[in-house]
Formats: sequence, structure tokens, C-alpha cells
Amino acid sequence: MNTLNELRAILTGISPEIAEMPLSEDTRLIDDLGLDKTRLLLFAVSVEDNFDIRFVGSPKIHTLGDIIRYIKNFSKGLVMEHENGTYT
Amino acid sequence: MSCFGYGLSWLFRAAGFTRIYRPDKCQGDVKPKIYISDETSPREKTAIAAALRCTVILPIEEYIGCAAIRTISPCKVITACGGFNTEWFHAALKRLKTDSVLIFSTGSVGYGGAVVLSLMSGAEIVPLCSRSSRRLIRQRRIMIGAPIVPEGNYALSAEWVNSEIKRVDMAISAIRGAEV
Repeated sequence: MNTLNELRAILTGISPEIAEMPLSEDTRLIDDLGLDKTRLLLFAVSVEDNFDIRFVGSPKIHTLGDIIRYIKNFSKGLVMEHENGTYT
Repeated sequence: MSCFGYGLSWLFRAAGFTRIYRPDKCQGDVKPKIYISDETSPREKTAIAAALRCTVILPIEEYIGCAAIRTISPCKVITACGGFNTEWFHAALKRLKTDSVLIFSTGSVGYGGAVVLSLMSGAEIVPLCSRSSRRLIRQRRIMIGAPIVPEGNYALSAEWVNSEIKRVDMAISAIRGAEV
């Protein structure tokens, strides 16, 4: 199962209405999925638990693509945030 | 009207002019709890934190921006940034093994954060509210409600968390309406 589908499964568990929504890497968490601060916290904790990662510092995460890239970079030990909000 | 002014408030705290009123269910239980209050005044928040002597979780902007809040000992404060920063959450989970935490309803943590913490740690949520009595010497009363216990068969979903948030909200309203 690819990362996007795993994120979809996590999101559906938190908010069942998301199951029917089309998701892509450009899907915005707050504007498109309507996640409030409680759902964001639940989602963040669930993603950490599912992928065995930690969100460190204040990562600039707005879309599902940002999360996918963060997961990949964390796995490689490359999580480093730059001034312009990107991370490598 | 206070006859002694703000400068001597520390003396009253030391002399025990804050009274804590607990229901019977809370007596004799020393397990760490998650206290939650809807207090908005920085002065009241500081007084409640001093009376309970437990860890306080505060939004970082509130902690940095308010001189009254910064009188709380830094070793007793966990600051929360919100968003995808979960460091405060894991710090609070670790702290809950030995110490209770206090969360206020406003800011990036709020009732939702308290409920999720309760689910993950198993700690009870204890609602509280604060009142100042209008006497010659002002006395603060902290009313502590019956604990809200996380149920065994829960689902880590927003729907379930929101129903727990409503329980907490109702519990705090009940304390505010109750008479001593």
C-alpha cells in the first residue's frame, strides 16, 4: 500500500467523511479536508505511530504531499528545515 | 475591593488563602490527573497553577507574551506550538507518569488536546473552576468536579473525541453553576 493510501486510511479512521473525498499530494489539510486543531493533533499522532516517525520542530506541513516527503526524509535521517519553509 | 493590593498576593498564596473544594470521589486518589479549566485571566491561571502545584501546558505565545504567566516556574511549564508540532504532547505523556497536568480551554491545546492526552495516557480528566470570594480578605476558591474517566471501548476518532469534549464542557458548566 503506498503512503498516500495509508494516509487516507488514517484520515478515514479519524473523520469517516474523508473516505469519499478524492485525495492527492496537493490536498490541503485545513482548506480541503477541513481538519480542525483536534483532528490535526489526532492525525499527527496517528501518522507518527503508523510510520514510526516524530514531527520535530515546527515543520511547514500544509498538504498531504508535505507529509509524504517528511516521512521519506525522516526515514533517511535527513529532516532539516530551511528558512524558506522547505525541508530536505 | 482588595484592601491589601496586588503586591501582597504572594503572601496570601503562601498563607493558604486559596481553598480547594473537591467532591468525595477525588479524595485519597494520588494518581496523576489532567486538570482542565476554562479560566481566561492570566492572573487566575497563575493562581490555579500555584495552588495545584502541577505541570501546566500553555500555548507558547501566551507563555512568552504574558509577564504574569511567566511567574510560573519554567520546570513546571510545557509550551505547545500547535499544528504538527507534537513535542508538547509527548512531553506531557511522559510527565503524566509522575505528575498531574493542568490545561486551559483556550489556545492551541484546549479540551481536544486534553481528551486525546487522556485517551493515550489513561489519566482521568478533572474539570475545575475558580472563584474569588468578595470578603475583606479576598479568598480564592477552586472548585474541582468529579473526574471524567476515559472509557475502555473508545475509538480514536474525531467524533468520539468531540463527544468527550462536550462532556468536559458540561462538567465545567455544572461546577460553575453549583453553590459551595
